[in-house]
Amino acid sequence: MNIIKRTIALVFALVLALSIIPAAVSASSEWRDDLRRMNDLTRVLSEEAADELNERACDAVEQYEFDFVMVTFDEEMRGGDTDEGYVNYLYEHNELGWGESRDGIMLAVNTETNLFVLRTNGRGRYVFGDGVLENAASSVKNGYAENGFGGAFEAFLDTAVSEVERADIPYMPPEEWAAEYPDLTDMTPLIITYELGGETRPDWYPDDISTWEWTAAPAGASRVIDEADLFTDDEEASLRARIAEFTERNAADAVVLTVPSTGSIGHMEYADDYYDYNGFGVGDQHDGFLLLVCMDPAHRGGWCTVTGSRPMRLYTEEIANEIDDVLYDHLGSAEYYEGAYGWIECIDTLLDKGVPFAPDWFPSANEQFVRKHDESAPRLVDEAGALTAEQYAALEKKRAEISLRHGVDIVVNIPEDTYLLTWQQYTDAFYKYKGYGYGENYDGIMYTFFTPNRSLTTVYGTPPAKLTARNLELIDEGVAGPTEAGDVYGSVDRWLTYLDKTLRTGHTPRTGKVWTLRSVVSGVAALIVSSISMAAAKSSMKTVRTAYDANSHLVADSLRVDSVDDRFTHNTVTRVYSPVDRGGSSGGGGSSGGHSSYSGGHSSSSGSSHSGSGRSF
Amino acid sequence: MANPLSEQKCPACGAPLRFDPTSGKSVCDWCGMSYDIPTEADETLAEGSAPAAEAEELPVYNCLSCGAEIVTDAVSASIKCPYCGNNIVLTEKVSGGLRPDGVIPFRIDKKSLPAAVQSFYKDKKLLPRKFFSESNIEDLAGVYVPFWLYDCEYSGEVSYDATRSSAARTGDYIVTTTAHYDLTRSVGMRFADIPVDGSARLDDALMDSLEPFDMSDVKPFRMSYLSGFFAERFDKDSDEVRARAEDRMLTSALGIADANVHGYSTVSRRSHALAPTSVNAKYVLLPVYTFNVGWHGQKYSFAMNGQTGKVVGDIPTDKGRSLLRRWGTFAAVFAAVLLLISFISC
Repeated sequence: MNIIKRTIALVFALVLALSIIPAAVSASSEWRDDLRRMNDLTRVLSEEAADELNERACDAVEQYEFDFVMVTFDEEMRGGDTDEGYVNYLYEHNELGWGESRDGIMLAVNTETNLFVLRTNGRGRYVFGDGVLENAASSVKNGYAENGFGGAFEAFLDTAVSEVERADIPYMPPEEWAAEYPDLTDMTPLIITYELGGETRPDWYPDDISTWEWTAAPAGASRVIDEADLFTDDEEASLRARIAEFTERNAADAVVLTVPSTGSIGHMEYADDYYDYNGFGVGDQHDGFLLLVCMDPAHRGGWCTVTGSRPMRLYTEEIANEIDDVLYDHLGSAEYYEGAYGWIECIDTLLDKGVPFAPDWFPSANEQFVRKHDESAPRLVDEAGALTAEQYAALEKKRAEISLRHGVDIVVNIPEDTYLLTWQQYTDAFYKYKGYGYGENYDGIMYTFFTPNRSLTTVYGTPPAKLTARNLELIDEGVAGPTEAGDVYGSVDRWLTYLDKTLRTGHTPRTGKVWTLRSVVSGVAALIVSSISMAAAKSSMKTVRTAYDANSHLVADSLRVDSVDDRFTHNTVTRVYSPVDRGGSSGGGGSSGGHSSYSGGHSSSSGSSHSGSGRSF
Repeated sequence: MANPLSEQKCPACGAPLRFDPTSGKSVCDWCGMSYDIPTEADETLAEGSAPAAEAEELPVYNCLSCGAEIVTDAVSASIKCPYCGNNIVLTEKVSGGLRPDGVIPFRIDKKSLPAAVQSFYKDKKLLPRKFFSESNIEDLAGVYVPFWLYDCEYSGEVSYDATRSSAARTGDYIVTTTAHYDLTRSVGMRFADIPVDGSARLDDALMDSLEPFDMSDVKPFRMSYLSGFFAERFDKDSDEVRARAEDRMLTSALGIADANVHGYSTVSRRSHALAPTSVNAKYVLLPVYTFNVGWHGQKYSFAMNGQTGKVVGDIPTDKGRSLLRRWGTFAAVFAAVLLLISFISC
């Protein structure tokens, strides 16, 4: 039993000390400022909400010289001990509290049984005596009923801080305390255990889930439910109209739900259940999407649940993130209508074309695409408007001449947007759907310049014999200079020149940069080798050396080496901002302000399958 | 009072004997007779006159062979009479409390020294070319150098601060968790025969460089080994030079402890508590040829291990050959790599 308790306490201490968000830093030695004060060991709060509570608690500890500790735990962590015994152990083992008397109050919630323990220490007995602790417990229960676990901790911290402030009993070392309060010598902790109360379920929840059966929503039921009052009437009407259009075109439902809070229910669970229990969805599998916007201050965010095999197949983690990037840009800026409308646009395009953003020429997934040769399609396309008319004319003339000279279809494209496709996906789609290429294999060479400074050469069908993979690399190296400088005309012009020479001779022109690079590499290699050679020669010249060790005089078999102690002392954690490269895509909103939590498939309380994603803002 | 001089004379013809490194015997160059090295009981001290050192700053002896007055220094224990060439051992420098515990006799004859020096020059790439042909060996002397050999146990603990790091991506952050450890290694070992020279006159680094000596060849001390060679008594006692041996032992012990710390991202030594116990010092004479090489008016000090033939010494560097080697190598490698890259790129 002691081993279990020690292990749990060690984990507790480590989690606190090693938390990614550093605990409040203080030079004070009056309290363990290396430990967190909000320790959500069972992860019932969002990371942001837990950090915010922790920060508030640490500030309050410094201000009132009184410790405020909040913990969640479960049955496994508690082991065979009682809740109160375990809470005592945590407080004592981790040396919580302020000063020598270790004054403080702790709220520990068993998230598995929904019981919570309030425990005072030191002068906390006199701050929270005479029924004050019971009042604090009531606040916790009310907070939980209104806003779940987050609400319970918020209410605890608010109440505890105000009670400490109201009591106005300052910290004193034990000797001074004894002199000041000779009658208040009992420092035994006050400890009480209460039940948080059952989860508060919304009224749309079925009374008995086990007997519930799916029933379609009434005809004309609104798909925009704005309980948080985020939309104007006109905006709601606009969203309803757009959803109706979406449903008619895609045979799938779309629902926008805003709520002030989901109470004690998880966001994803709330979204799933709302969709299921209100009978949304089209077809046998109830295909559709629901966007939940929760305005709970403790965990404000948006969550999307997806139902039905086809929508779930299309709504991959990557696509969820791309859509959420755009959605959360709006929600984070309080542009709720724009966010919701844009989200509907995205899922509309997703069901239609398989991607959330797509150019007009991108064919619908519902259409039967037949590939063709389109001799009349322009071979130099400047969607980005990066070329002047003269530049365009000059490049087109050059491109056409080279194409004619070598009998190769040469295409140059300068797109404005890749619609969240990767560069290669966009280039392939452009070449394929625009009808480029000669012969049955659609042979051709395409150069795509992605503004501001990236380019891609792709060969389709059967490549010309002289255009080897190595020559393609050299062409890329050759155009790197103007490309990286954002010189569109220079990049395309040089690419055409290099391509022409390569197709004629099988060799690419060598640039000064190439020779410089080769010279540098050769120079470095030569410097290393000559330095090693000189060091060896000089070493052979020096034969008079002071002896610094006695290795050759070590008596065989006399050596003994023992590991006396390999003791872990502590951990340190550093975080370095390093944005994820989103697969080489560009444009299309382009925000990457965070990463969504994603579920590729889960069952809701009704038993139906959903996928979904969510992110706080 | 014991006779301060010992003279090794041929019993057959009375000419001086000398120790022959090749045969390991005392030989007479006059009549060609050779004799085994006598045991301690057989060693007899020849009669001679007492030193007149009291009146002089330097000790003065009378040669037992020709009677000439010989002035020597305070540490020489074996000398040659400059008038008649008689080999004389100053017994008071190697007897009683100054008697060595052992001696490694010369195994290399001085005749083989020029060849050994030429061999030494061979792999010296930056040596001036004319040094080889124009230099002269000067002041050659076979000397028994006083050394202290230390045996001891060495043990204690070494403490380290160590870390293990792991990095993982969390969203747009790289989160690196570093676990810190407090390590302690306990080491124990025994060292034997760590040589430290007890001569103030000889350069310490030069003597260190002559290692290794084969200590299994240490013989009980006999004065006969000294005949024909110079010898010195120590002028630094074992306590004075013991720190050099201890420094060497400490370096080795720390190196061994360090090598036994594995599996950490970073390790830094924090402290150590290592110390020798039961230190035992022996006094031995080791065979060394010392000589100078003169070239262009300068003298370069050399020494050769009289047991193994290992030659050490500082030699001049040819600046022209240095530059040629540095830039010649650079140019050759540069051209080769450039050609290789160009070939691969085609």
